[in-house]
Amino acid sequence: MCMTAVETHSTPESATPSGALDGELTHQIGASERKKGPFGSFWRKVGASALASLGLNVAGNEIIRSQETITTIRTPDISSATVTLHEGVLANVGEGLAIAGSLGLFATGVAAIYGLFRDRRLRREGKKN
Amino acid sequence: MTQPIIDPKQTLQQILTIVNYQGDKQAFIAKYLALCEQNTLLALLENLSEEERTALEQKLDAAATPEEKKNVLREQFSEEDIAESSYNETKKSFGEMMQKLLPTLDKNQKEELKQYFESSAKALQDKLQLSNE
Repeated sequence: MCMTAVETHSTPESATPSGALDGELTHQIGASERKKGPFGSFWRKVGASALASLGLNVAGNEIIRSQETITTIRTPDISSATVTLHEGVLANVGEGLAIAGSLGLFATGVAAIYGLFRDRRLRREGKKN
Repeated sequence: MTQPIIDPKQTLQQILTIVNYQGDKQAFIAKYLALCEQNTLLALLENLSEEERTALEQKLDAAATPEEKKNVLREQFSEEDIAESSYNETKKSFGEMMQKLLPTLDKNQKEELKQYFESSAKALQDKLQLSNE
């Protein structure tokens, strides 16, 4: 029987944005669940509702009275663009985050990217091992 | 409850749209925020001594309602501790997420994401300045 080889060019799941996000979320959830293991009994006692309301009283308007240090960084992974971050303010927004519905993901997210790129830049410049 | 200056759900929704996420966006957002909450509490617990953990468990045992349990937790952890843990854990998690995401994006998506972050950063600064006036 003659078989014809068919060349396929499928994209691995992890090479797509959706695959990368789903894969990383699954990975992080797994890591968190493993970390939770030793605290299993504690978790059952806390209950989801208590957990979700842990930090709801943080006063966001107090957060903004902060130092204002404009930091300009280069972001090699997003073209060669310059992202200007209000570093001091972002840090302070982060400090005032509530956990549940009011989690200030943007502030932490941008700060995370800032940290990520800063580390890479420092590594490139040989300032960091 | 004070509203967040930037709505994290909206931010995630926007990011998922930019990168053309194919799955259920709301489900992804819910799972991700729940993960951030869990990691925050884990970080707080890890900072307790064995004795403190035991004492906390006993207090939680004695607390009958979710409200009482919530009060036990609030007595145990300061707002500063909670906020710091939340910030650190989310920062780490989101950074790792971006590390995996960025290499999969095409030039246009990277550019769009960059513009979104820039405009959001500016909007945040404007809001903060307005609030200070």
